Amino acid sequence: MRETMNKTFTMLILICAAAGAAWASQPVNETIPVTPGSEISVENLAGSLTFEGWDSAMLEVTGTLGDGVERLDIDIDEDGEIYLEVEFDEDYHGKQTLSTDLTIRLPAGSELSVETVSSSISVSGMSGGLDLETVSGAIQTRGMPASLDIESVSGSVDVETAPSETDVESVSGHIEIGSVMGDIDAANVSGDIVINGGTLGEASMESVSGNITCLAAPGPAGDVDMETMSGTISLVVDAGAVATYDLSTFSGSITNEIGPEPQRTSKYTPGKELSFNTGTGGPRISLESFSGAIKLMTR
Amino acid sequence: MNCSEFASHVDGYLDGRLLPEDEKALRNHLAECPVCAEEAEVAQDLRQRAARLPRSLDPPRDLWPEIATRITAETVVQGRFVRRALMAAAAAALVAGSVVTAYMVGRSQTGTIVENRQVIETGPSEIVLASFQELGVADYLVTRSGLFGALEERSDDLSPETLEVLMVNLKVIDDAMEKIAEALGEEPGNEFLMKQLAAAYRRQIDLLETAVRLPAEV
Repeated sequence: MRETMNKTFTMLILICAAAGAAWASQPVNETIPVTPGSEISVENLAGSLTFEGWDSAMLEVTGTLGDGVERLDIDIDEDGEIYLEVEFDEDYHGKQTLSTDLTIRLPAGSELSVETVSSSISVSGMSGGLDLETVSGAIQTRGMPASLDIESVSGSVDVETAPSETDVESVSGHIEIGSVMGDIDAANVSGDIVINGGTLGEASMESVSGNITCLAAPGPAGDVDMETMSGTISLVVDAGAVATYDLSTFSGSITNEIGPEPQRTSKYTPGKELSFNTGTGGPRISLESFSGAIKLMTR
Repeated sequence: MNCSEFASHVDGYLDGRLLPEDEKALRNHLAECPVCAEEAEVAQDLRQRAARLPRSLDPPRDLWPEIATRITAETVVQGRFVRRALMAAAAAALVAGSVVTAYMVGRSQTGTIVENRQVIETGPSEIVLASFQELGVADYLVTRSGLFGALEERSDDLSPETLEVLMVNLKVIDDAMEKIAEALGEEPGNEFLMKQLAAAYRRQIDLLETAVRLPAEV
């Protein structure tokens, strides 16, 4: 929860919804000027948040507040940082809805930080950095922000383009990334991680029981590490790509379409390893699992 | 300040990010409300415990050069596992058993969690503990217990579904550790197996740390 702001330069807009009364779907329509490149933080519990980057130096908030919502606070501190927070009615009861649906248009270069519980988060047209966090809401981003940091517990994550230095983490949410443009850290527990294209820089992908599927091409310099305990690892590479590969699994299988067969590590205990290269130089690619299958395939 | 406002300000209070007047109002509320005062104390304690967690255990990859050196020096000999297993067994039963049994209290109604409680309650086997001794991770049990304790503090904040996912996957890792340790018992010093155990260890610590940091769901 955001706490810090300078009260000497605080604009507070209170949009009152039902204070004990049953006002369903209290409308919101506010527009305020913002400093280009400013930081904007938004918090919502339930419903949906839709962010659209635009060329205007204005912040526009439209939508509806649930009748269990007391107000929408919009604060601006002296640095121009903007805070939007949906405040819920203290006397909220189960017959009221907390679902608040807002569409927020903001300067594309803003630094955006969002926290929700079950509210979905959808972002498009942003060129500034994104820091998105949810418990169970779905997260979707379109376009390529300057940086991307996503955390979810069970909410799904759908990223169209991941810029370099992307960090995505979930517990059970499905993580799907259309294209990666450099360094990436992706971690999951039971959910899958799927990367459909792009070029990897330094890349780390980890899961316990979730599967990892990567169709992005390893870049010429960055190292790629993928690890699971029981999930399957599938990496698809170009047949002629130069790289050094290290594959190992305790009890899973290894399928290799571009190199030699894996070898047992011992005649007494389970375990298979496979190390080889397809030329001099290139990235080091490490695929490691305990019981999950490892599949190294060509396009 | 009332209890609801306290709940929305407690994080800022613990982080020292409140405005002076907000902090004063919160302190006044704590002086009057024993429930919130206890909640603040528990939250503060949890943060301090998390801060004390041994960060040096995060990247077991860093352990590998030492492990490799030990293997090269041929210091790993069969039989150590058995001796150390006996010594470690008592500690395992005492520490892991008490911590995680407490963790499971009140959650036994959830089917999958019950199915996976065995691994949590019994803790790692002697052979696993002995294997960690061989890896140079002497305080594995302390680290594990500390993280389970921190997770217990958070258990009321997490949904049954999330707890189930965590338990199922912790069991996946515990089961893997058992199998690797058994194999190490057959072939002590096997470099591949020690690497596998180190990786499983890191995954478990990472998972527990992630679980402790999860945002409140309930």
